[in-house]
Amino acid sequence: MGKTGMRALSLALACVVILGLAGCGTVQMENTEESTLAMTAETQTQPNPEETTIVQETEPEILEGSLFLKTPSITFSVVGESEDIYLGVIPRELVSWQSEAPDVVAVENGILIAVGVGTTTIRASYADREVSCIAGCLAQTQEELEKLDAEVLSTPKWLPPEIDLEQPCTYFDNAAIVGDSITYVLMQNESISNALGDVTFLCRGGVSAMGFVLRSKNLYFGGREQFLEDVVAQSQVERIYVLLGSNDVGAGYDMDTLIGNCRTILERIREKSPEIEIVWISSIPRFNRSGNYNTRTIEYNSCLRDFAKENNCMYLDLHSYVQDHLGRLPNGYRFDDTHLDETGCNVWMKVMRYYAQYESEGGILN
Amino acid sequence: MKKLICVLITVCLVLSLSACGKKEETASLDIDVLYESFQQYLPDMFFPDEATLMNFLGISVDDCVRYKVAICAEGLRADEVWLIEAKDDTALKKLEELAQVRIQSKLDETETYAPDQYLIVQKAEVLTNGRYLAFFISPDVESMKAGFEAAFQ
Repeated sequence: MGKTGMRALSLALACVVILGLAGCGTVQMENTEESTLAMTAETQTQPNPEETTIVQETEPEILEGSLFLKTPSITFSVVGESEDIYLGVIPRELVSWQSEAPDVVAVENGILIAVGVGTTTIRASYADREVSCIAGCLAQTQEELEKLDAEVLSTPKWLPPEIDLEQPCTYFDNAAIVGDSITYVLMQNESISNALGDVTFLCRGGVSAMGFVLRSKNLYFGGREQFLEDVVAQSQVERIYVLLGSNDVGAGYDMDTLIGNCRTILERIREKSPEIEIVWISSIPRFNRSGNYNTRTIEYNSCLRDFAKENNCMYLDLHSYVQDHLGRLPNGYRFDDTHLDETGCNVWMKVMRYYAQYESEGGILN
Repeated sequence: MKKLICVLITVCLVLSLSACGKKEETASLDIDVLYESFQQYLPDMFFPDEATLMNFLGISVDDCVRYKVAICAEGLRADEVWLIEAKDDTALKKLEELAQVRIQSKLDETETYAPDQYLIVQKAEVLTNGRYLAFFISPDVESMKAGFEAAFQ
């Protein structure tokens, strides 16, 4: 065989190999559903650049999930106040925002700013999803605000999330709420409505973080007084929500002491229950403005949020939902200066359920 | 002679049955009806479920034949009522101890910030009759105590 013959033979062999391989490909693709799925998976991991370009240009990826706003209604006290009302799930940068009256409340990237007195609607949208928030502002200045009717001043700045408490709830079946008399009152209300399902209450009137740390006032569980960390361990829950601080802030301890006590409590609980998730709930204001309790509570909550973040815990902001235009517990949410009434407890339960729903879609409490 | 034996046996049977009857009568105290008669003295109350009874008060429903445990659902009032038929004497003793623990707990709770409730808790009553236990914390504790005692007369 001459050179020309060899070349012809090589060419013929190459053609046979190429056709054979092409044939195999066709057989695999048409073979079974499994093969198709395998090919699809392969295509997804090693895409043809040409095809990818076409897909990206025509069909942008639509993400699953909801748009969670912190509140369906916010009323600013005076012009100039601002608030970030976006909680999350769909990434903030993908959400479109619009205010029906930017001269009343303007919005940018989920952050609302009060521009004038009045009320408007803020809309957030992504793909086929849209949520809205009623946003308003009461007064131009602080002086103007304080001249308003006392009833108006004692309305809540944020309304609670729209949650039907009559619907069954299982989010908290493996969770407990730890607290003082404020939590005890929640237990009274929840025991009637069952709005938090099978949640466990670990509470006692008059307890405080300091009392737990010093072992001077503990919890009753199973018919005897026991240390907090032992009660938490025995309850066998996977998560605890902790609302303390009322009796500590009221006692006048400095912030280092307050947070130091939280740290001691956290360490003791984790020693006995290493896997447990801990959600610190912000302390709530009081109605009486005398003294600096409410100002200190805001400061404490800010420190508590940082503490939670630094220590791999979660933080739930209840405070924002239960403060009026003078930073107090709203009149319609209380039966005394300190404790939430049935309406106030319903707000608390709605907040807990809404944030649990948010977590179930991948949201993080912080 | 046979007739006499028959009469004696009959008398014995009747006496034993009537004795049983007396026991039955004691055991058939209707806790729900008794509780209803106390409602006039009580604010809105809630009834803890089995888990809460155990966690919060230490009461195991296994120790109870029947029970009605009610805790005040209004604010920080200390009102509380337990009406329990214990399973046996051991269970009754345990329940009595739990009631005393509860009183101490409520005294500790109320002493500092609810002095009016502290005075009410101080007058709490733990009563027993047979295997029945009654525990009252209420401003009307005397009326409820009288009601419980009357239920056995």
